[in-house]
Amino acid sequence: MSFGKKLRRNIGSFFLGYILIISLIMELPEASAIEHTDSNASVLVVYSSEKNEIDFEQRVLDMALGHFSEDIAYINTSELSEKDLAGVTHLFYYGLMEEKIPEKAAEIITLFDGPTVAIGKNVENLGKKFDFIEMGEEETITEINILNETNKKRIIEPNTILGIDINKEAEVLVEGKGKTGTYPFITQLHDSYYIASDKLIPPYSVYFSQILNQVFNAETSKETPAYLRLEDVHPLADAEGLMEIAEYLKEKNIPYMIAAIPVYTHPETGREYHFHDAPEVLKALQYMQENGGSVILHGYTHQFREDETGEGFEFWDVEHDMPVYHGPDEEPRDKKESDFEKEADYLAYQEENIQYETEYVRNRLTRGVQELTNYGLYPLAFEAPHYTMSQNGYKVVSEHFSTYVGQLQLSDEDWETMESTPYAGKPSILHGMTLLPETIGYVQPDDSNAVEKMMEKAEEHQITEGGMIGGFYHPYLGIDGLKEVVQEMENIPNIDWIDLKELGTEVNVENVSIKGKNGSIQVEVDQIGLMTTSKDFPVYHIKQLIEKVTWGIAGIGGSAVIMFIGYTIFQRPRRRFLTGRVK
Amino acid sequence: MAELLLYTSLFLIWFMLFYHMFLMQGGYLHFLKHPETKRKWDLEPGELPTFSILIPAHNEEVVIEKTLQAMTELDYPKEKLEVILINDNSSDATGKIGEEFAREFPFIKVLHTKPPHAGKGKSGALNQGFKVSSGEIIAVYDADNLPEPEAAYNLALGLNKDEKAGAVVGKFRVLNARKNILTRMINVETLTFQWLAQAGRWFWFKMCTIPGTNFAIRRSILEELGGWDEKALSEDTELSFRVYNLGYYIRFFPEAVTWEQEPENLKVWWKQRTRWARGNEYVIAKYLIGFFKLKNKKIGLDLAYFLFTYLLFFGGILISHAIFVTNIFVDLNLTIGTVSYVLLITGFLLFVTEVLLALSMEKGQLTMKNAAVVVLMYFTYSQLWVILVMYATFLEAKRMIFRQEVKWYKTQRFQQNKPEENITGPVLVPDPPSSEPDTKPRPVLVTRKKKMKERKIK
Repeated sequence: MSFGKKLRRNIGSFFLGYILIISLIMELPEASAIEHTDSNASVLVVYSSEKNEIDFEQRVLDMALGHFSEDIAYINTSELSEKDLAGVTHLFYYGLMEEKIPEKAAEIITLFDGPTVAIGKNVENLGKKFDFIEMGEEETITEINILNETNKKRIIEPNTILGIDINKEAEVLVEGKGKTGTYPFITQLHDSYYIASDKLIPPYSVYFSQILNQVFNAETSKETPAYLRLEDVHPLADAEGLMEIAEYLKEKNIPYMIAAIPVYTHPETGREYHFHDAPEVLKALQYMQENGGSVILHGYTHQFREDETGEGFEFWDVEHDMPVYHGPDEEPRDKKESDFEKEADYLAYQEENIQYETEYVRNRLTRGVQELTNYGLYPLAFEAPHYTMSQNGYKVVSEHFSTYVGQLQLSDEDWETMESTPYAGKPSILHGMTLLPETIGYVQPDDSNAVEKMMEKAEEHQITEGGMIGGFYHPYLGIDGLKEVVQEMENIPNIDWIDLKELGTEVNVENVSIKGKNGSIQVEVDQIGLMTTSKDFPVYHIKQLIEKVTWGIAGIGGSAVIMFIGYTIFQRPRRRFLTGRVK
Repeated sequence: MAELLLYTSLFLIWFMLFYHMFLMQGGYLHFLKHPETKRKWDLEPGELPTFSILIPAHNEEVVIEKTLQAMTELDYPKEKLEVILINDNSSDATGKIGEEFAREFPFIKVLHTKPPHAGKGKSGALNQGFKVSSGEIIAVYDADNLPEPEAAYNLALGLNKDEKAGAVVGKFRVLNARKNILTRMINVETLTFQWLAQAGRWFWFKMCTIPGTNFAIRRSILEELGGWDEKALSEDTELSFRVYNLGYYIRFFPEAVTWEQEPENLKVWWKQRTRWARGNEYVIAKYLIGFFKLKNKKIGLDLAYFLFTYLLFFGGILISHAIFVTNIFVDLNLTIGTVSYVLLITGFLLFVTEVLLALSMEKGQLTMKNAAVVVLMYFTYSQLWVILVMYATFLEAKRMIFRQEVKWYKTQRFQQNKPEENITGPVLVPDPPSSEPDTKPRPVLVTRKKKMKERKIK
């Protein structure tokens, strides 16, 4: 007896151990084509700029570095001290404006023992490490190529680079070609790299990111991660069209994303349409979610003031080109520091603004996720409407979402300063969020070469090995255009369609927590909490029930009709039979 | 908001329609069952009780002669029969005609009432008549009724064979069904009412409503109840409730048939039906307030039925009509969609099929013409009811608020086209097809008469 018990217990613990091991294996970070973050890399970016804070260009760099490191710090040249280098594995100098580099800073950089990358201006003052560079005149190039690699040559629009002369020992990694000759674009000597441009945007970005693999000694992926996003799907979308697309992508077995907007605001009537007003669209979305689609939250209304959904900006007051620090009907809160006598007053004013914006963004994200969840749609990522949002806005997003899809607005001054980056990553400006960059744009409705243009960009982005091919499509354009894009994208070698449900994405708002993992969505909802958040939520379920009941009523009514018709028809033969019997 | 109202009205309406479906099913089953009951009872009818018929009449000279004639032709042992014409303060020849019959037939008596005990409406007249009556069974016929010869016997039979029945209700048919489109519709309505509401409720719940005519009630019960409620405009519904409350049920026995006149113009119809509606509303109010004092909670079923019919069902129809009309002019943002059309059509089909089934239970009623009438009724007659109930509710509410005295409206009677031919009553064809001569006897009735004679011989 006791032996048997013991055995059973042993078997029990064996199984327990087995399950533990299995789950440990499952817990291991999934090998995915998009994640190459070396968690050990610690990056310090020393920068020169007019303002004593990072701006657009540094953020572009940040996006690129985000693929390789989760730990990126920024410091102005004038403030650099030895202790800033503690634990740093990779050092970057970003010379955006001409400056006299303090001797002390140059000394610190020289003493740093690790890969060091200098970008742009002022390299002649950086100390011994960059002795191999001598600055010359600015040059124009129309072709660019990675030496030692095949198929990396590209014709580009004329672009300037900083002309340099290099030491014979140094190696040219990337070379530009102009009318008057070839020029080194990225050069290397030992652990020192120099980029001969202070612009890291296309067409240079893909080359820069590719060389970063070398800087960080990262192994590149053979796969080309790609995604396709169906954009601006709101309650007034065409349900039939969506279903057609859903069936097509299901048949193709391609995972995809749907950028959903929970509320459509009519520009003329101001009436708001929710998904419960459009049961067919909702059904289509639910179907998509079950068959390869992953919903991402694309704002709550995708508009501000009286704008039309999809057209308007939601998290940016585009009329005043400023963040949303005020209600739609309020005076814009756009005072400058110069409008205040005391700095403290301005800071207090700005603090108030930030607080307002934080609440505004948080409320809309929360409501958006809750509302979709209530419909059984579980957003796994976020994309800001028109990508626009202040840096504080992205920070608020990062508190609720683990994944951001699209481009990023990189300045709080101007919404048009937006950019993408070749690799997925975790840039510091996203505060821990993974960025799935959009790199190939979209099918523009009135451009007959739209798909071609997308594919050109896709080709460009293959310069960066394992770079992301991300684009989107407006479903209202019909299925044919989508088919064209898909067919073209399928020709990309080693294409790997990424699935948000596989990436371990997380979304957390009040009462709702969503995880996309191992191909499925796990949702934790505090139903009572959710239902008491807004009366709209229980009302939806009650309406669902009522509708079912109503169909039930119609069914019973219909059966009775058939029954009574039967009785009536039966009446005549019955009567004849009875009369016969009487006779 | 509009959505909430719409669904509320839909559910109210469909709750009612489901109940009707259920009743129709019961009515059909009773229709299949009752001939067998009748056959069994006829084999052993038992000792027939003394039978008093009360006919309240206020200025009924147009119809009373035929009615009394029909009474003389009743197949009931005359020594046990008593017909009391209550000439209730008439200013016409009603009393005179009654006296003429009384002289010829000893079992016919005329009671002339004069103020202050007269002119108080049907309840008052019935109470007067009841006082002078002597039968163990009290039956009531309206002054325009032509009972078939076997009617009294069948009513008595029902009470004889069913101890628990406090009252037995027969079936009434429309005498002037072919007169015009209105009487055709009323004919369809009465048949449906009787097979759906009366037979259906009887089958499922052993309940039905005393319709005011062609019913018989035990004297003992009437005595216990203290007669009719003189304040009630629909004394019949009121009486039904009190009979239930004593623990008896009211049997629907469609073998007892009477033929009656129905209003031939809208004005008369409107007045008569307003009285019924108000009367029923009075009963709802009276018993709803005192519901917890009632002994027989089964009345709750009927009370709820009336409450639903007069307030909630009509309320639901009003709301849904209002929403329908409003939605034509203003976008109410309704999301209900396809199911609303399905319900609309199903509701209509349900109405048509139920009515056609009821018609099919009466020989010769399921005709193409009547089917067309049914469809037309849905859009006209039924809608008129909606307005009528609104009007009645308004009047009743006003009465209750201002504590007005009720005034009895006596239904106006109509001279039938060929009174001299019809005078012999229902033994002759009561509902003559226009192509046939009115005097041609109906084979069915003849057979019945023969059967009756055979029974007597036994």
